[in-house]
Amino acid sequence: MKTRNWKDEGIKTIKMPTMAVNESRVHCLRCNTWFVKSLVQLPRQEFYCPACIQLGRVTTLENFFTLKEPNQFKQLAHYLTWEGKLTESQLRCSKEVIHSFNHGRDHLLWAVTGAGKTEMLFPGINEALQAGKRVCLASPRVDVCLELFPRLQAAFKQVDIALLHGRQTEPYRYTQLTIATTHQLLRFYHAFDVLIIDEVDAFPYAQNKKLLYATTQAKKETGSCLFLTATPGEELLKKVRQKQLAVSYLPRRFHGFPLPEIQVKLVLNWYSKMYAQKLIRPLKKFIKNCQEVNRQFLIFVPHIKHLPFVLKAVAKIFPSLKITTVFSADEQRLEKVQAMRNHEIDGLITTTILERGVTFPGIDVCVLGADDDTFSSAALVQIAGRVGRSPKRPTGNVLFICAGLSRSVKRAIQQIKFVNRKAKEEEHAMSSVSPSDT
Amino acid sequence: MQCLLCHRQIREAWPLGSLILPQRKRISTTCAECLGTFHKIRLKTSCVGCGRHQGSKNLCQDCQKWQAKVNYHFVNHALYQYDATMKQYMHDYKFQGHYQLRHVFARVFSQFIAAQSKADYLVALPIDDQTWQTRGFNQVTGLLEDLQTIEILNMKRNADEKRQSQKKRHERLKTSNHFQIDVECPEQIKDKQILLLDDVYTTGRTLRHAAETLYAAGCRTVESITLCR
Ligand SMILES: [Zn+2]
Ligand SMILES: [Zn+2]
Ligand SMILES: [Zn+2]
Repeated sequence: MKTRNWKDEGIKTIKMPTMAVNESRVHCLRCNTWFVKSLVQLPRQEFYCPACIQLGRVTTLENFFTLKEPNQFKQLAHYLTWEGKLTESQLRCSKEVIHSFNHGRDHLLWAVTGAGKTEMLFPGINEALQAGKRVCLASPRVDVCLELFPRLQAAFKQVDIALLHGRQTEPYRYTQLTIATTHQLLRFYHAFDVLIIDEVDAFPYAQNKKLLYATTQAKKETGSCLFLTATPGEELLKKVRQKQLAVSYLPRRFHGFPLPEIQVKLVLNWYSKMYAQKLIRPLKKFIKNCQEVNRQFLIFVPHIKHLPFVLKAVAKIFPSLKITTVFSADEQRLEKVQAMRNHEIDGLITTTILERGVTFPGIDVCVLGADDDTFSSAALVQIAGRVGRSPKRPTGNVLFICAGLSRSVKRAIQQIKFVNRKAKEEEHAMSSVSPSDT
Repeated sequence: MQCLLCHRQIREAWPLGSLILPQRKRISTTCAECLGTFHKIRLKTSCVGCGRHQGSKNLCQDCQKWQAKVNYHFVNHALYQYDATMKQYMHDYKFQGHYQLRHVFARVFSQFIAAQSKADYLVALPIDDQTWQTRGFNQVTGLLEDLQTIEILNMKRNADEKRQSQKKRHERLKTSNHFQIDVECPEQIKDKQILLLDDVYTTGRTLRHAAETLYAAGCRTVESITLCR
């Protein structure tokens, strides 16, 4: 593919400042953070922004370059080549999303894990492309982008799609449809008519607001942003309450069952009991349950240091059980996960690293020390979402063991209850609507 | 104060004396856990030629090769091992351009230099104009606190030439000398002892180029200190 030369095509680039400097303070125009001048000063009276440096440094040494988005795309006869069928709730959501796109409004799609939200996007993307709009689908995580690219290319066979992420060397191409990491989005300013951000809440909480601001700069002023999430954070929910953000719910999984609800058992000092090789009762019962019906399980612990003694305490009572521990930097991580997939082992004791992406059909999950700071409510909802993914076993047990109910635990319970209530409402609404109305 | 590296709050221990005798205690910029991930080099177990961390004080192989090649005196001391955590730090500080991170090592590095040096002049290795344009700071002087350095070297590089850090080892060793002396009165540095300062000693090529330039201008001895090796 040829790289496009803007000069030859007579498209004007506009130079814009990156930071605003006044008497005592400096303002980063990318991430909207203010600083005391002296803290962010470089020698020779220049300044930089440490707040969004992860996305590539902004300094007064450079300008942003932007161009009036020309929307010069060749009209195709067909865009969407996907022939699958959406469920009724996917269809309803996609209509609501299209409505927001047409009116240049921002939209939140709250879809439970395993609801099939990618397919649901197809009609909206299709309409936007047909209307000559420029569309971008972005995610904070490279692996999500890599996974989305072939799925979108298969659904829009004739559309030229650019994939942008930090690990690649291909030069930038101008395309109507782009898949990019949110880092890469920062190269664009007012470029997209439709900007879809997947897994918004994968951003660490503290950075969320800043990164959201920075990424939404990539959309045109008249454009719309669609946020996809399974666990919306405070920032987004506030905007929903303030009616700045339209919202759609996709509360049911593709197999139609609700999310398994969280059971909580309060145990004081689970840590010291387990450390003393005493297997606490609720965990013993949980494992026994799994063992009796030959079901695999995951036990989450807050920290790597908990892994060895939890394993020992479990193995002492259940010597015949095939279990092992795994953590993010574990050299045998992939092998262990594969052994779990092949049903060669009965269970894994793990830290939070498996919370996204990895699925084992038909498992039960227990979180030891769910009230620990390391578990955000988003992470807890994701962990609970590991259960009931298989149509063969759409239900399952989610057990939280903690000393008390932390804010995150409470919020996770509430969020799951909330989407399940939404699912009921939806079912009710649909059964009372005659087919001709939909 | 937040730790510059892990962003967690640093718990300061305030000795009782500081309550009674008002003294200015230096605020830490980096937490003890983060500092603990870097590894200092000990004199006893490092190469006497370049400061590399190894089993003994013997001259390492690279230094033996240098000895066979050049006929002037040059040694380097280094404070930290250039291991994975240090490489990550250098990436963030130098290549990402996070200038605030200079505070992580500025104090210990400056104290280390002050304790070692008997030199007449401290000279930080300069950066070229293009680096000033893009990075906006000299990573070496950023690491120096309250130390008086003099600017007697210039660095010029052809626009199309790769940077030292972008080259492979054998390419680095072949690089030609880009340093020039920049003093009004050459007498100023004649017969003087010079201590060169740099962030990383990798092949030793760049530092020796600077040393050769200084020796040619009549300096008596040239040695160097780097933050890491
Ligand atoms: Zn910024
Ligand atoms: Zn720290
Ligand atoms: Zn050596």
